[in-house]
Amino acid sequence: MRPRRTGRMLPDPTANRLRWAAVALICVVAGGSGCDVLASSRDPIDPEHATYVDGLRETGLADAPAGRAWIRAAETALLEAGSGTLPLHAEGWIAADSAAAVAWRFPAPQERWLTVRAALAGARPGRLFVEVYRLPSDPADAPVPLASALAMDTVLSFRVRGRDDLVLRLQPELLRGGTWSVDVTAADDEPAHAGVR
Amino acid sequence: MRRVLLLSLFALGACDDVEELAEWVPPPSNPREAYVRTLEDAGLASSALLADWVRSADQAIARAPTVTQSFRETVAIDLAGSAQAWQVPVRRGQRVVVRAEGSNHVFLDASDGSRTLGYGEPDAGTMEVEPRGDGFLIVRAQPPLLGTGRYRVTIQVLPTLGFPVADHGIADVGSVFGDPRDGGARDHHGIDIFAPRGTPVVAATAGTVSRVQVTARGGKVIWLRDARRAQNLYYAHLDSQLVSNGMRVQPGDTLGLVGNTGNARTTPPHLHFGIYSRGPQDPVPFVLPVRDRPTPLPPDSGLVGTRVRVASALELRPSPGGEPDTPIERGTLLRVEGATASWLRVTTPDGNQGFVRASETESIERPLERVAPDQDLPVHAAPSASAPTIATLAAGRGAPVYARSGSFAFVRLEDGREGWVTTTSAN
Repeated sequence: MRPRRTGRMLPDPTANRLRWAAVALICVVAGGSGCDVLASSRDPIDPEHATYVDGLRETGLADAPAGRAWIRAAETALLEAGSGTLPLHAEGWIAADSAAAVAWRFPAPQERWLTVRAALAGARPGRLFVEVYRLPSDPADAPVPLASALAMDTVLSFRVRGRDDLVLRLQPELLRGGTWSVDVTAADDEPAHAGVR
Repeated sequence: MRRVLLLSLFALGACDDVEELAEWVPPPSNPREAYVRTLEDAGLASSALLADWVRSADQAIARAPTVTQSFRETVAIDLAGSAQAWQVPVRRGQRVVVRAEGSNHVFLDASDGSRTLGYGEPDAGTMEVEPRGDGFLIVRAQPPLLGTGRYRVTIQVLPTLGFPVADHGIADVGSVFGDPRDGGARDHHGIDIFAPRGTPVVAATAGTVSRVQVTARGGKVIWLRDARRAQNLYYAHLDSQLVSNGMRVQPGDTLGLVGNTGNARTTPPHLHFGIYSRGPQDPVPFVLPVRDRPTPLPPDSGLVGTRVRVASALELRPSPGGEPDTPIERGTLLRVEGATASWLRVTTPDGNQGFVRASETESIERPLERVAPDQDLPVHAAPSASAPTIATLAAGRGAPVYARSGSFAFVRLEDGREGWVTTTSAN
């Protein structure tokens, strides 16, 4: 919990948020040259999903059955990701009132550019958490987040370094659902619109 | 966004004072605002959760049904923390007491449609508001996010003042505000309450005795200052005055005794009771108990939060007992948002909300019919061909139909999933 305040102060810019802002800034500055900062497994990013879960915990919403189920669905999807091969295309439906997440595990396309295009279309506009994790070779180690976005329509693109398997996870934000779709491709060359959109 | 901009400006060194200016934001002024602030500060400012919660609060006010002055409704709590609101007719001099009881705490507030007039404390589940004019008070209730269950709202309009003559009531009022006096030369600026000589005249509220005097018209009179409401209460024609200037009194304290002094010498003993606040006010709403009978509780509030279907074609009404305005076909699926007396507050599949008689609906436990397509049918998330497909009803596999919407049937598949199939080519 954050300390209680009588008035609202500017939020403490935490190290993680600053790091993420710096990543975004680098992407913007880099412009058409793309952004491979996210690809470094030595510098894991702080995914929006984790920030969102922190928010749920801070406000007590994570203790509500629906909040708990949503968090559990995300964790389970990551641990029990189905096998996938590149290129990968999938689509499906998640009801707005259900706690669900989907995930795929696939071999890392080493030194190639991985591009993830994901979208969520529902009766009400909603955002989709799109995340790519690196699975350490030691199963005892936690997955390492590599790239992340929260949007209705997302393109993540980065050069993959390292040989550990990757996991892609999709989850609509709480109270949102709809038809999701995802395309994952690997290419030798940097895509025209590389970076995080 | 505001914070990001301010931070950016600061980072660029555009203005050293920006951070200082942004440091302090007034604390939340009410429980609702505090709740929203908590979510924003936790990084959920642009979440669907918060957007839905705020939107629902606005929508509730826009569609608030008009209800009686003694009203009860059992309301469903959903994950989005959907708000409900009620328009209550009120007159100056009345107060509105609202109570919310249930499985979760509920945010209560009241407004005149544009201005907020009061808030309830969520933990207490109660709110009391005294509108300053005639019109409608909009009472709104909203549970926090991700709750489930139901709560009961009780809205009661009561007079703000006690009756000024002991052991008497509104039936003893013999002349009302606005009656002609002096052959029509002036209006009666109060009410006359007839009672035997010597009946105690009591303080209608807590206040300070501001004047004790004898005048030609009022005879022995007492003025009581009600500072909380910025008004003065006038007691006239007393047989005797039992208080003195400056005395603090509590509701029910005896001020004097009923008589017929002043220009009432030729009439039976009575109290002339007047209220002045920027001119004379009609005292009746200030002292008259509300005549509306309390809304009976619904016979089956267990329906709240469930789904039913229309038993025979009917029309949605904007309020319980209001004029029907939106036709609904037989078999339409309805989500029950609330229940009051014999009425259900329902939402149709296309998002309309209104009231129907509970007797006009039926359970969806028993299917209406069965659909058995001779070709694969897409099962949609909503009764529309453009709604996302969530499953397929395979050719030759039947499914029970529990409700209808136009040419769509609401089916439950063998795996428990529910959705809509078009029935034009199903059979």
